[in-house]
Amino acid sequence: MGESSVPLGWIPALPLLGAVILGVMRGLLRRDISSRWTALVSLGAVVSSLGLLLAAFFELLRSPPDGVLVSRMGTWMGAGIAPDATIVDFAFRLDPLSAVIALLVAGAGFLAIVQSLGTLSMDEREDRGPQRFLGFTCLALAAMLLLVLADDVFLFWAAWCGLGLSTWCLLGFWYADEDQTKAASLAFVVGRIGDATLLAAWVLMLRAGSGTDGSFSGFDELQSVRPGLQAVMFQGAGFLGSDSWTGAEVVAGLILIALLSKSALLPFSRWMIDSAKAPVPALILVQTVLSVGAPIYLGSRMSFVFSDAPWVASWAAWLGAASALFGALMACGQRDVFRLLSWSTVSQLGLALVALAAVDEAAAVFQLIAHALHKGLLLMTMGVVVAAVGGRTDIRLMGNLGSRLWRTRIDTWVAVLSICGLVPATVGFFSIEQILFAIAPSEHLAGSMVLVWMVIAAIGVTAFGVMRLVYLTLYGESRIPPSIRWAGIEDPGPALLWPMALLAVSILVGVLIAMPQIWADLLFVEIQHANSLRYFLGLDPVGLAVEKQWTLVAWASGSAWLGSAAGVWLYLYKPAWWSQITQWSAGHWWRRGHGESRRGHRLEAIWTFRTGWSGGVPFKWIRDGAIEGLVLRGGEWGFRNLISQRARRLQSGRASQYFATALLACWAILIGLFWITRG
Amino acid sequence: MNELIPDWGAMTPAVWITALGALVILAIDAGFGSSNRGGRGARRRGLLLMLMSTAVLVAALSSIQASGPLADRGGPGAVGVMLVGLLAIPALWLASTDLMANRSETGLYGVLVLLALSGAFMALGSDQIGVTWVSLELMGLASVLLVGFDRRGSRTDEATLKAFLGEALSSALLLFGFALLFGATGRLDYEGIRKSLEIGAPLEIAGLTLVLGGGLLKCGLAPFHQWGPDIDEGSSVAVMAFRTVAIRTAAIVVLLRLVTEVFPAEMEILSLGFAILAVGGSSLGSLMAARQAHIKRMISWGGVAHGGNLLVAFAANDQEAYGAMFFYLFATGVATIGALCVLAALKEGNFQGETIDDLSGLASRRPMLAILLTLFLTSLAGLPLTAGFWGKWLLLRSIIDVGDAWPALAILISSVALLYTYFRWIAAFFMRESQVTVNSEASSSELAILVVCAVVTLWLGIMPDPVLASSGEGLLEFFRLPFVTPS
Repeated sequence: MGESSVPLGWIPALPLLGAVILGVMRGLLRRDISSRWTALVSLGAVVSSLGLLLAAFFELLRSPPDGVLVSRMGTWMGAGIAPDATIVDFAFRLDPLSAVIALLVAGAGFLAIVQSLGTLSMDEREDRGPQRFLGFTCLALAAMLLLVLADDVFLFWAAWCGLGLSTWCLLGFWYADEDQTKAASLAFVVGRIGDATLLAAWVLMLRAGSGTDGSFSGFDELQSVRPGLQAVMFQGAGFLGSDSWTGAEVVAGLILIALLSKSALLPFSRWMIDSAKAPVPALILVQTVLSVGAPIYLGSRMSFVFSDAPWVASWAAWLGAASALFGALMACGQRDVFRLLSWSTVSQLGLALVALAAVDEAAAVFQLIAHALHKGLLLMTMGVVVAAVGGRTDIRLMGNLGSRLWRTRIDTWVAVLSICGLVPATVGFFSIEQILFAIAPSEHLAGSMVLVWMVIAAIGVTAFGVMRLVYLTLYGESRIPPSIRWAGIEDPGPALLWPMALLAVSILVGVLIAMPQIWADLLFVEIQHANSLRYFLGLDPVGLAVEKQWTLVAWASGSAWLGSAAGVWLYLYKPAWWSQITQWSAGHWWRRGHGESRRGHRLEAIWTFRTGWSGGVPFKWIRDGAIEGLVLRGGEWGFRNLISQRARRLQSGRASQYFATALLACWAILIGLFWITRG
Repeated sequence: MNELIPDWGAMTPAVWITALGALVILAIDAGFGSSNRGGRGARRRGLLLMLMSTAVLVAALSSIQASGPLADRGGPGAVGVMLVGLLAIPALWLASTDLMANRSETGLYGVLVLLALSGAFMALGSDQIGVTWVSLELMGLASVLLVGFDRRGSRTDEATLKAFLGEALSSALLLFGFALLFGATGRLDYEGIRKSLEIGAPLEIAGLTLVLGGGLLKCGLAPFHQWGPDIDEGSSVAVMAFRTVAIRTAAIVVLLRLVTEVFPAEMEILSLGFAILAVGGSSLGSLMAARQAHIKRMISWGGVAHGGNLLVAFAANDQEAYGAMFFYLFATGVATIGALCVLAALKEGNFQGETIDDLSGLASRRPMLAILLTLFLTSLAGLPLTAGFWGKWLLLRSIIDVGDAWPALAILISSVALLYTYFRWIAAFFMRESQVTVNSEASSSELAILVVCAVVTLWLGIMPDPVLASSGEGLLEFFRLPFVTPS
């Protein structure tokens, strides 16, 4: 562990400074600064932060393989009396894991700022311009970079909470829209569940490690807590897997809840879907960096808790696989572009959680990189498509746009090939394989073979859903409303095109970061450590036999090609055939008289795929019943009607009732005391 | 019979100073005449407040320095005097613009406040149940009169009556309880009662029940909390700040001394009961706060939730937990005073600015006040980088440290509901259009209070303990070290 010559603290501090400048000017002084200065401040902050990060990264590369760079800026606070005192330092660390994720965050942040400068500058309404938005973006990037670079659980937790706050700001950016403020608040509240459980996990870990060392809140010392955690026992509930839980299992469970809530996996997915109406740059940030990077970083950093608690890891893997499959299925049924992409994000994050549960950080981190690249690109291209049809997000009102937006179509295809895992030249192809390589040999996950099949199925369904999106938006007959001039639809300017091109190239070049060894052996001669990401992170090579690896590759590719072929066939070549099926399957819906013209019938038929399949009873039940009904609406209804309404009756304002309650409470205390002392 | 006679040594410097202060103010008030308006009135109010603050500050500081009976009688009382004094001063200054500006009985207000404080200080230093009861009466009656001091509010009369009835009920319960304890032991001093009590005897249990009931009612803790929101809604901002922060802190510390010094043997049994009361109070307060559309009621119900959280320390019953409780009392007290001061600064003529509709779009009208109110509510919600976070963290850590994780978990869950409540209001400040056009000006004393409260909240949140890290002692230690766990 060496002292960094680069002041690591400045990496998050610079975007924070940008946020403060923009925020103070807009929020306190009520001054609008010119768009040029706004761009300069935000881009300057992020680019200089990226520059510092790169300098530190190259310094890290020059250090020994397991090297860690630290930068201590002094003591933050302390509590307790020595030797039990917890001393917390303002300390930052850069190790391979944090370097990879920090680079990704800064890079994605830079592109999101460029994208927002291109799209938001047209909006002249008060408080809706780029100044406020870029202030939030800088805040989010500062929180995320602090989270990744923090060398202390408290600093990490403060950043984790800051991330929740900035997610709220970004998703609720168009605050005059009530739906969006509700969605943002939902995201915030769900995130707070994770904050609370994460804090509880830290408390338990610090408690287990107390007395061993004066200061153990740094990440390096957390490993030393493991024996202490195994020794602590909690009385458990048998139906959840065990009659008594070790401290490690409880901590793993708490961290799992934090991961699920932050990354919108089942049963917390709703916030991600509801927030699909937020500005596109906000979606890019939230769906590629904030809600993905933070949980995957936490999971990778704390991966040892999953190896110490196999049955919690199994729960995590099953929830991840279920989210992957369910998200992919739900994406097939959406008619709103961004809701579709949000469900797809849930699905992709589910896959990452499976990798984390299998304690393969390299697979999870590579999935994060792949997802950030192809989902970022897909969100950008679909942003262009949506802007072309006047901001309408309904895929029933699109079609054949690819013939006008041909550059955008190329970028879309690169993203689609990657997300579906179709050709071995994209990051998505290899990231899916590595997840399968991670879970197939895993012995500590219950039912790992079923998990493998669930992931393979999710790949196929994802491919189908994404093909559906591509063909309904870019191909087929045009269904755009007559009010939009066809000739006016064209590719965006270079300010948007070049970030998209950059992402597309990264998707192709990114393959070199983490190509599985079997492919390197096949394509090249004598290349060691082809999976340089895994090598850089200091992890062991994949332990699965080569034949089994090829078998999994075959199954995954087969599933992807099958799903894609089905999508192309149904939506490009057989729309009429599909229309008949959906008419038949959704007959009850049909008879209600929806769709007035023949054209209308045809359009409805295309989207009633939703009611015909993925909106079918079991899925509808999970979506509307379990997620929305029980978890959210049920909770809210119970809170309002069962608890709060009843409790309100206690607050009648009548002094006589207050007297009676006080005396009753005295009686209750008396009876309780007698009962305890006598019994 | 010697031990039956109250030990007037409890009348420490703190009590003398505040009581004398009250008398001096009464004399000055008589001498100055009744004119209270214009520049002369303002100067007079300033002088009066300076006098009161000095008296309270000297009283509070004397509790730390005193080597006399108060400090000897155990740390909690001494720390309690200091806490109450420090929290009372900003609450006093809140009265300068609103409550005292347009009234002729300025001196009366000062006298009532100082009498309530002298009662509080005496109760905190007392170790005889007789003295404790009389002191609590003095404190309670003065604070009831304070509730009714500003009769302009439409709900003031109702609030005063309820405050009086609540005080009367709690005094009656305490008196019954003390009488039973005296009957059982023949002693009035805490130590004597503790030594003579037969554990588990019916008289002891009945006495403990009544003392607990009366004490919890004095503190406004669940399930004896219902009076609180009604009283707070009807009283002026300054009085609410004084009552819910200073007086309540005093009552809680007195209850702490009573149960730990008179019934130490029962604390083992009471632990579960306190944990249930803590979880119940925390959940009920959070749930009820969520429904309020009036910010004073919301803060008041939030106070019930915070009171519930505090009882966790009683359940844990160790030095660490009581230290955490003092810190929590201080952190939430400062944030509450800050939030109420924002309300005072927003008040203009007949516009109260207390409902959620009044406060919607506050950020567009008064951005600085909106940010400060957000800071104080955030601290009350216990988010990091604010003092409230460390208060909650220390409290929950203390209960987990003694091996009871479930109350901590339940409180964490209920704090999510509380967070929802506070953020509902914060969202209204920033995300709704303003419906009013009133623009008030914050007075210089309000600005000073706001700055002090904000600095303390942020300082304790960001750097809770800069000294500790280097020397092994610091602020948290300060709250904890004087505490002597009774054997």
